[in-house]
Amino acid sequence: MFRKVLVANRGEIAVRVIRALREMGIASVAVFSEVDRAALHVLLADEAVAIGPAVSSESYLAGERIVAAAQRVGADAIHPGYGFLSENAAFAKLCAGAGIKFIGPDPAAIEQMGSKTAAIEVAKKAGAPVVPGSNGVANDEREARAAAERIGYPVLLKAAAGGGGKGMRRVENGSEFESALRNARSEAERAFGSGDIYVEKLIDRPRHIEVQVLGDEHGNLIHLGERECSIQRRHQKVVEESPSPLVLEKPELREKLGKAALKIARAVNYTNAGTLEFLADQHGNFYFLEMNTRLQVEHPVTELVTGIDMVRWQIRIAAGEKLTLKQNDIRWNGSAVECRIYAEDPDNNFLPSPGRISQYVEPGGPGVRVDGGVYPGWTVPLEYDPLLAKLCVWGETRDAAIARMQRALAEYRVLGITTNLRMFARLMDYDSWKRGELHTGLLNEFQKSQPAREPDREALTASILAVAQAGRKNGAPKAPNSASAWQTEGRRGLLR
Amino acid sequence: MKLRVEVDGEVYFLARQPSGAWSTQSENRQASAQALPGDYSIEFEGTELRFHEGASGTASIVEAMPGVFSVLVGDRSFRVHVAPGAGADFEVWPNAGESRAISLTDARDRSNRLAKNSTNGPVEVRAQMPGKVIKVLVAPGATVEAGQGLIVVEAMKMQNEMKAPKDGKIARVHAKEGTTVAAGEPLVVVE
Repeated sequence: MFRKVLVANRGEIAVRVIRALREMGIASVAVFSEVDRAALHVLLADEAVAIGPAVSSESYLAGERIVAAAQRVGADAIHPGYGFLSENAAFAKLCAGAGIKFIGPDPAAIEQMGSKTAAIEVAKKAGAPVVPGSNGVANDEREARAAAERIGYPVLLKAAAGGGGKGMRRVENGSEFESALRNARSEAERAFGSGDIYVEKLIDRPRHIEVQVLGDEHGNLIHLGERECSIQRRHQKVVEESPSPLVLEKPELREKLGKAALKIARAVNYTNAGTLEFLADQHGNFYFLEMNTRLQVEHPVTELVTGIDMVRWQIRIAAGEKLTLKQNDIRWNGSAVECRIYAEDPDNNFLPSPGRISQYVEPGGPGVRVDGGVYPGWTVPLEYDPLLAKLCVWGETRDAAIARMQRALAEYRVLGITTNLRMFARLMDYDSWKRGELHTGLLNEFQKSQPAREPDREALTASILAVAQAGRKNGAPKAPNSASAWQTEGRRGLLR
Repeated sequence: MKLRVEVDGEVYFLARQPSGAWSTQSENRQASAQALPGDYSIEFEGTELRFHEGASGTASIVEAMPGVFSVLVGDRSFRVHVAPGAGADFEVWPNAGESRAISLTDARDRSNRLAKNSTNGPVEVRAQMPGKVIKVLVAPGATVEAGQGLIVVEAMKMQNEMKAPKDGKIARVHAKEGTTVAAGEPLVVVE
């Protein structure tokens, strides 16, 4: 087993990995940029190394600096977390070259699954279902149009190098095709430096369902079931759960998904933790989308229902241990839901809200797990992802988990910056969500459907009174007018 | 004596009666029926503050932790978190409900605040979020159309283009490329 592991990441995931290392008796090394000097992961790690300025390209993305840091402190391995260098095959090779174990899959598997079109080819060859579409990149308009007509409208144009919805266009019919292709190409060129486009069948009200796999370096490979991640904003997940409500409806779906995922993972001799993402329609047909060759943000929901510590397994597998879990050992118990607590304003186009957290209280109690990366007084930097923490709950049933999430959300307090906590509190109460009738456009529909709410008048009174008291006691911190108003009034005999 | 209490844009007044009692009323007369359930006799950690015309209930407040108040309104128990606010004086978050911005001012200062929101004459374009100015698309003296991009601010890998609120001329450009700005900070003045 490793003696010392460097965590090449920041925020909640660095904290998560450091926690696993501590539990395994392995020394942990944090790396940090200038603005993260006092970040939670630095406070929790056994050692911490400065790696550069705030800008990611010179710190968390600077592979050579990170490897040099690992060599200097004598780390045997590097855990990349997610994002940053986690899916960078060159970095994995750099680690190997320096004699440091990269905790993740083989660089070859990262490379093979890194391009969406190549990954789809792998899936097809392995016999897994893929979304009907052009066979790879369409070379010109004629070829793209022919593919669209063969599949049947509506179709989706997608950037081969893309992600996050950029370079994506929905085309309803043949007359829109030419301009849509032109726009998608130029957007893709600007965003990714490549205007390569492929054509895909558009699935109405699609669901995003993914399968977790875990493989060792001795040929053992299992799946840990599915997660549904259909609640998204700007094509990014904000709520994830396991089991998928669609699997609760059609229990045979889990095995089908698992088998398809294993076929693809086996085709690239996949090792360590990975996730195969599928698009599913409302009837339970599903199609392979892409593979994430790393630990996923939403891994806790799988951990909560299977009882398996995935980060611990990642480390054990990287150290050469055999996966002692067999497919038949895996049991799924109850339901787990995760809400991603972001520093952003859902009522203002989800604009980011970095800044100082003046008060911070995490929920607790039965069935609640918070994977956080912040603390009261911490200034959330504006350079990185807005994820503050992941609030995860477990319940015996999906309804129980949702009720628990509502309870936990009501306990959670983040003051000083805007978060999406309030949106979740409302979403948990939304009918389509509660019924499990999910699709990737649900959050948008929900946002539009929200009526203005009558304030609770007594809560409002309580708020004003508390502010009045705070203002009286301290003088209003930021507004001299309000302080003077209370002070003046106090002098006039407000207090009897 | 009148205090102006602004709660998420909604305005209430706390008025002191000649008797020494306080009453609440909403700025909007129609809303006054919806205003705070008025008449309370309030105890501030042992000190009583009358907050009523004909006391119909009681409230009591204790600061349980720094910035966290236990407020009993009648028999209902509230835990209210109070912190300095970004846009307003305070941010409050009671346990039954959502986070709100509250400002307390002397009612006489109100005119100053309203003046800032006027849309006639020069209009300040302010940052909608804290971030770094990555592009300044206009120079002083330039003519702009409503909706034209002026400044691009980036935070947390997301770009936000600030647009001209009206047709006009750029009077001033406060923003500089590469500098960080706070939410609400003036970036450009269009006149």
